[in-house]
Amino acid sequence: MDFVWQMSGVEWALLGAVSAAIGGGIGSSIGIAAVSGAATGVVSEDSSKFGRLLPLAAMPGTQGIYGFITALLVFIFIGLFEGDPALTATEGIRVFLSCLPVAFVCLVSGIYQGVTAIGSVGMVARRDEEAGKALIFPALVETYAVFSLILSVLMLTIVTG
Amino acid sequence: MMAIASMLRIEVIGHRSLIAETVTLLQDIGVVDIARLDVELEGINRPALDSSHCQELDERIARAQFVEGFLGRYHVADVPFKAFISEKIHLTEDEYEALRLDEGFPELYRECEEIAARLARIDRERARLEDLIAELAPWKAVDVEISQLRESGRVAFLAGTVPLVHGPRIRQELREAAADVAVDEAGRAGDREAWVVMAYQDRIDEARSVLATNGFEEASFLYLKGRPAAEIARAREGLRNIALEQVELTQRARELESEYGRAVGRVQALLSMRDALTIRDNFVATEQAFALEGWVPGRMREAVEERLGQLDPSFEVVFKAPEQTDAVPVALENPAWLRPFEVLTDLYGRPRYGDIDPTPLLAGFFFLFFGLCIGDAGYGAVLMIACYLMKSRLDVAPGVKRFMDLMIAGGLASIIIGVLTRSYFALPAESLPTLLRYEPLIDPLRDIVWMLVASVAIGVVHVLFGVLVNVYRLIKSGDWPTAVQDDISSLLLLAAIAIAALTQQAMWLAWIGAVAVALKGRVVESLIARKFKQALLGVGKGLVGLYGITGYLSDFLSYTRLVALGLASLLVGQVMNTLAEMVSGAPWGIGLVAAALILVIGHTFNIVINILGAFVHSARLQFVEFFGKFYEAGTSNYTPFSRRSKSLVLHPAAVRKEGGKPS
Repeated sequence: MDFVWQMSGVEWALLGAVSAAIGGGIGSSIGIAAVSGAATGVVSEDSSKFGRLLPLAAMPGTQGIYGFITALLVFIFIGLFEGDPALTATEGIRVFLSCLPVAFVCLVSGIYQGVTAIGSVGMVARRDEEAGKALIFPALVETYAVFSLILSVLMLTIVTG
Repeated sequence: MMAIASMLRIEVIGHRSLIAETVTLLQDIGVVDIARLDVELEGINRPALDSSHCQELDERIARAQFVEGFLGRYHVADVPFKAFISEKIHLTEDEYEALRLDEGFPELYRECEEIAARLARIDRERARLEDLIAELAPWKAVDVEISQLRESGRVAFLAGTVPLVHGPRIRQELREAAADVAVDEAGRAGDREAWVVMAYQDRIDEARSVLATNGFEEASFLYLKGRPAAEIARAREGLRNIALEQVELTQRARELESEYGRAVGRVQALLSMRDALTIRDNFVATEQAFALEGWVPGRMREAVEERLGQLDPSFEVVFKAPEQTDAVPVALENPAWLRPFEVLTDLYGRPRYGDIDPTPLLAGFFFLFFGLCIGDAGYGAVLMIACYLMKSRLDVAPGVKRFMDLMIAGGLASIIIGVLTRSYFALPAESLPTLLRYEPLIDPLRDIVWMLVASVAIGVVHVLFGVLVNVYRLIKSGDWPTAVQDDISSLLLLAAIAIAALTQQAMWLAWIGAVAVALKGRVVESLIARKFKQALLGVGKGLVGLYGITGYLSDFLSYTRLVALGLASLLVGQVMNTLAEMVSGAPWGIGLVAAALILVIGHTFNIVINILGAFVHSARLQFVEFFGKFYEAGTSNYTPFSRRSKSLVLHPAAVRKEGGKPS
């Protein structure tokens, strides 16, 4: 455990950035895999539904993007692109904490958005004229990923001054 | 603002002998939404359907659908982006009508059926031969004719395979169970071993039971005569022959594919014929007369009246305004610039007749929300150009065209927001031409907090507008008490919170809050009626109603998603630009090619994924936060009785094109 106490501010900040990227990425991967499994089944029966199902399969992909954006904002806000940033351990931990909303919420919401979208795939399979309505239900789940991104961005803005 | 088409109930009474002509005429006009007429009087019934005619028509439809499906397997749509855009078959109206006659169809059907049956047989035969080859594989080395593996006199044979790993144990069990049992190993394939087990007839059952409990699979090829190797060769020859036959049949099917367009049209024409029969079940008739009822848009009244009069002047045609209790089908009538936004209303569900069409109310907000979510002038321009090209160059359905128009509007909104935030393909100021290096009105990255506050303010306006629309609806319908109790009291309370926050004085909140509580609980009304107990209960009710205000606060916060999505679009775009810049320095032009690829693919991905988010979240803010305040969908859409033309474009003139773009 000693290495934890010896971590520098930049290392804490980077840990936050990768947590956000990993959480969002895993959530999106599982979510997309779940929807795609259902969608491929439908498309194998009726290939004309591919265009209507693709947006549903892509939907849980946004959590990964939010994680990626959070990581990117960390790099921008701590000045990683401008050279070797100077960050105290306390400041680094604050950045790390700022990344946690996205890391956890995007992980979970990506998975559950996929689960919700499976139901929507079934809806399109039976009544493809309802493809528009089918998009709305998974979008409700994404609300919380969006809120976590806003919270993380706000916290990063505040803690990095 | 009323954008719901005015509808009229139409009632037609005519001579019974004219039912068929009337149905044909109504199908041709294609503007009457026929309702089911119920009259329960003696001597009145439904115009009887000729069941044998219906049955014959159903059989013709089934055959036509079979041909459509069969030829569809060999049809390659001649449209770009065929995964996303359905192909349209172009037919003239005369061609469409001619398809009802089935001219030449029986021969086509027979040929398709024969090819399909032979192809199915080929599939079965191929599976059988492949299984046989696999089963014979371990026996390949056996230099004995298979016919000799059947019983001979006193000796019985059992030929089959056992799991390789259990071979020694099975032998041991056989020796213990039956005397004079011989096992001959014929060969191996995979994890199984082929055995010929020989025993006297009176011992073979004992051997069989031991084998049965140890995974023995008896050979199914014992009906064959030749040596296994020869039979494998024969089976392979059979596979080659059926492959040749399949190529020949597929070739023939591809030649017949030229009939695909007509096959699609035929199905629709026949389904229209069946509609013309089944629609009669909505009519009522006596021995002499028939009556029907339906709905037409008011503007079509003269045209329908004239056409029916031309068919038979003795027709009794009555038009009536709808009554309060009628379930009137709804058609929307908006100016051309608002029509794209009907996509959103239709997505949620149309309003009840006589209620407000939300299309004009949501249009401006959707426009703004979409623009904020994309927030880049370059992306907006790409979206506008791409959608314009799709709409004008591709043969897409009217519904898709309307959606493209909505996306063009969204693209325009993105350009406006992009100009205000100086966002052009997410490029930094120094990479922009001098003309575009102006100071932006707002920098999304630098002014995040300001942006969030602005988005909440937009939410306040949107949600309160929804509440005010509901107040208007309630007052218009004379329901003042509900308007005051539910909405005006909430508006007062929100105003009190705002005033208290701005003046930093809680006194405002206390006084206006008390009035709001009184209104929510209808306290004054109860006091005037001297119902003091009810007034007291009303105070409690009002206080509970106060809690409902928290719902508004979460609604307002929901609009911060607009900033998050805009930020996502901007940042991913910036990453693409940075990556392209990083690789652009590679020598021999490789860097420039790689940079161009990253820019094109990366920005395209970003545009597509953000369009999805922008559409879905902008729509959600309408459906959940806005519609929740005043709007109830709950009606049937106006669906006039007409000829079916799914996947078809019918041309009045004798011009015929198939798929692809119109020239």
